[in-house]
Amino acid sequence: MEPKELVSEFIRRCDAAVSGASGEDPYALMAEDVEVKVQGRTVLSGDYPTLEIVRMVLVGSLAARVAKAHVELDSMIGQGNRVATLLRITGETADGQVYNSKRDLGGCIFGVEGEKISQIVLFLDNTVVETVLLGRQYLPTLQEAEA
Amino acid sequence: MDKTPTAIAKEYLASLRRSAAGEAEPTEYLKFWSEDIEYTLPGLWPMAGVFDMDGYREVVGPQMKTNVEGDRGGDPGAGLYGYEFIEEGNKVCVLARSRGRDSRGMPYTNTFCLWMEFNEDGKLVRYLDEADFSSSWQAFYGVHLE
Repeated sequence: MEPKELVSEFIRRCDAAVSGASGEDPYALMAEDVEVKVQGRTVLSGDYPTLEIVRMVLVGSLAARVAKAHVELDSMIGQGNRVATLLRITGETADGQVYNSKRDLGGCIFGVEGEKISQIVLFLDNTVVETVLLGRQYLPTLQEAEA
Repeated sequence: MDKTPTAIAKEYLASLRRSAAGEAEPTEYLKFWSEDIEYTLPGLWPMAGVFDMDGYREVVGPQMKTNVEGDRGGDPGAGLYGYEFIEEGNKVCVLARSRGRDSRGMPYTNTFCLWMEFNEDGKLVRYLDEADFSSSWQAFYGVHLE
């Protein structure tokens, strides 16, 4: 498969997997030494090297909070073995909160080597991650509250 | 378009840096925007929304001045630096890092994913400006997470 075709199929499989539909395994399209980078400064942010760590640490953490989700491909461009996408990730948490109620798009970059996905750079909306997924809230700092 | 999307994006980032470093008008970069641009700042923070040029000037522009002033305080070399450009047709996706200062004057950095689509005149018509806006909210709006 060409890189864009591979990424499109991967996103289709991810959507099927997280929405509860039956489908083929998305992990089968990822290299064993895949590197996933989640951007930002949340507890989910950071580097997840190897498929095992992606499955057991990143996806395992998400599974603890996400009841169901959808991953929609809005746009995709490719240059060589790099593919950039705009994804609309929506869902519902285990306690019934709607994730990404505004249906915002987010960027996700893929690297492809040898017909496998070798890198993913994922930009989640971290204001939604913190409030909806992790149950935190933004409060005024002491100085601001006293002002 | 006379230039590639990547070339225009690099000029755009340079314009943003000139503004951030105080070497140009604070909104010089708007010359890269078409009037009917769809500009998106995702998320749940105060600047989030989908804006055209007028909406940007009415909603985002004032907050850039009142809240993000510290990020544009004139430090030499401050601003946004692209490190990967993925281009196809009239579109480019830019990965970038930024350097500035938060509302306390402390160093502030962020990571960006910019999705840019251009019209035949080389102006931005669709622009998703994405970063870790949880960090931005805390850096510029006097809030913290609990």
